[in-house]
Amino acid sequence: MLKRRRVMATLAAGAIAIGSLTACSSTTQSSSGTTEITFAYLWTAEGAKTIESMIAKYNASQSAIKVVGVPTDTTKQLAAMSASKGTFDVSDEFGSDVKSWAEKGILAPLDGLLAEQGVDTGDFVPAAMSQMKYEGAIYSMPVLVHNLQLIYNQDELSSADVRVPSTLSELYDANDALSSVSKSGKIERLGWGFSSEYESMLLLGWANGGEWDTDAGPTPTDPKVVEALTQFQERYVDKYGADNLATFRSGFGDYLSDKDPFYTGKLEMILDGEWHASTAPTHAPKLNWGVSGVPVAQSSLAGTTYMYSSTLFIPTNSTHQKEAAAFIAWMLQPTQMVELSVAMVNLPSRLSVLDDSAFAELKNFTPFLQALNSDHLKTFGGKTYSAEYQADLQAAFSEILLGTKTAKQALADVADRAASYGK
Amino acid sequence: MSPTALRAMASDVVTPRRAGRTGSRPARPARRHGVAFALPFLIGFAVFSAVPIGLTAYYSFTSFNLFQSPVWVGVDNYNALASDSRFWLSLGNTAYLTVIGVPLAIVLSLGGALILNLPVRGQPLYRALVYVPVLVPVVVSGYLFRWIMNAEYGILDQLLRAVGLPAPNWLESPDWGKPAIILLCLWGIGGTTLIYLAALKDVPAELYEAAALDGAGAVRRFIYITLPSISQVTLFQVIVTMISFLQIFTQPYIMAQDRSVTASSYGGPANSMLSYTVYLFQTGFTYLKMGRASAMAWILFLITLAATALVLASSRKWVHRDGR
Repeated sequence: MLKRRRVMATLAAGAIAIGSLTACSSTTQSSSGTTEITFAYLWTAEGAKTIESMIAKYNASQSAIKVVGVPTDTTKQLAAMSASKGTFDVSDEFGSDVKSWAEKGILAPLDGLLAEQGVDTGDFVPAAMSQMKYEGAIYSMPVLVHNLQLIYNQDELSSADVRVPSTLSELYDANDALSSVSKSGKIERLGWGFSSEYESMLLLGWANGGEWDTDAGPTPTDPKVVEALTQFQERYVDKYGADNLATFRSGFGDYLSDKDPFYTGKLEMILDGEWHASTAPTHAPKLNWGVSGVPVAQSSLAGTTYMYSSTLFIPTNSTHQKEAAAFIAWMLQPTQMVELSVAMVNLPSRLSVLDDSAFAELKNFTPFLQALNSDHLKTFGGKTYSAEYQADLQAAFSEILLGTKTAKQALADVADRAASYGK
Repeated sequence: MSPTALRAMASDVVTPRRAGRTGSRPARPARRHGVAFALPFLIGFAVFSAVPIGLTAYYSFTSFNLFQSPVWVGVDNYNALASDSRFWLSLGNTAYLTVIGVPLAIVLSLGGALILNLPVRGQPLYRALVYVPVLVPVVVSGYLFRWIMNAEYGILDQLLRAVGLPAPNWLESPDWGKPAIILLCLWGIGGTTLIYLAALKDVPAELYEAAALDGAGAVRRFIYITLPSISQVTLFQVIVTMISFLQIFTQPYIMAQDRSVTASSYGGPANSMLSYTVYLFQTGFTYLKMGRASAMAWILFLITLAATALVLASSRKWVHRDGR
């Protein structure tokens, strides 16, 4: 009898423990009929605060759904989505992962859910939406988008009497005119440098009329891409010396800090995104900076830019997909989108809000907004092999910049590796 | 208390009581208690170590992405790795770090221990100072070293320039990335040094006295007395340090980081800092190829096993076993 009681007590304790754990899971339904869902977001610091304020606003706007925000990271996100029952109902990720994740069955298809919520998917930037689809179905929605433009130091260009470059050839000429090298060969200043080597070099390929990826697969040896990076190696790496450039780069301070090389005057031009409208006034309040389109090889390519998106999705293992879709639909409404874009200093993904007057307060924001209407918006990723391809391209770009391989060799090596993607 | 009583007490404490009727096996209740006490560990080990290890062996023969059921592919993952240039590059980088790093760590630890064993004032303080870097998280010392090794502003290059030596571009040059990682690893050899110090303290002083009487100098005493006396500790240090270098992750991961932290490539300039485990992590968690990552884990395990066996086999020639 005593033994039986012990067994029963043990079982009861186990049940209580399991019950406690269940209470910690992603969703609950209270007696008042309010459904609680979890939004696991990747944003950090100020971005996280903005998201929390949006969540608070949503919770105050209705009583049927209560959203609880929790910060996460990609590894935790993937671990949670690999379980049979999820720990969150909504999350965010870059658009380049959507197809790969949808193919693995992690993401819930959204077409029906969005239709129920009355979301007009035709109002979103088409290039962004094309990343959201896998086998014709929508698996994620862009909430913010980003693109790169030529950002330059207006005062330095004026004092050197250098016109803002609009072609690739002019970009290299302007770089030569603005760069300063000591007699010992030490680089003191560069007219044009990188915030991100990877993004800038991708952009060079596109700006020369090349393509990095097609429906048939990766195209790292596209002749226009090879031509662009060969030109870069000749007119930039060879001219200034790979070692000198490496030493110069090593002196760069943290990105988007007071010591960012663009803010300190080490670089006069960079190819970078709309967020400088927020960071430049904070870290370099006296900097007189301007924005222009990405220099291209020929005028027909004007408007070429690299665009990527921050997206919202519902994991397949969410048990409250309808409620999650209602929250996503609310976040995508024009009012919320404009509010979020202004607060985050990122671009909205809806075409209908691009002219909103709220964006006027953000310095140099308009060229980035206008670029979203371009026919030459380029995206990268969205394939099952994209992560691997990206890593291989980064390694190749590093080799080109270090001069350890010619552009042709480095890109041919990527093509060799690409042949085994998916195997 | 009488001496007899003390002896009886000592005998109670020291003499193991024979459990059960006869023989050396404990009686059943004692065995049960033993198993019961060990059970929490055994369950934990089975659930959190043995089963996952077994599963990775199975996954290494499958195509598995975490989210869909694994599909049996035989030895495809192993074949794919054999023809993967980055796999070999990461293996080469790790071999470089191990082959250069382990002897350096051992020699410097022993050298440090010998200095810390000298009878000088303030020695306890120096011993504590040597251990301080071990208390600093590797991530913190990694970021600290990124600044120390900055080619333009770093104090290390400034010192090298000051004495007329060339100042390498540690973090941006493919030739200097791995030496930078080794330097960071050597920063944390305080633990190894203290183990050596304890071993040195165990060397019988009379051996040194006898050798000194026979006219042996400091070098001969070190070679013929110190090294053989601590050779078993050296064997332990070599194996443990070698395993830690073969599994090196945090140091290259931190040192190779991109300035804008946007990179999904973790290898540093031209992948010169891509270590085996970093590539394993990238394969599993960036490319979501868990089957291939599992195969990599097993290959590393076998390499570690073979390297350890090799060291143990060689130890017959250089480890002094006290006549046993």
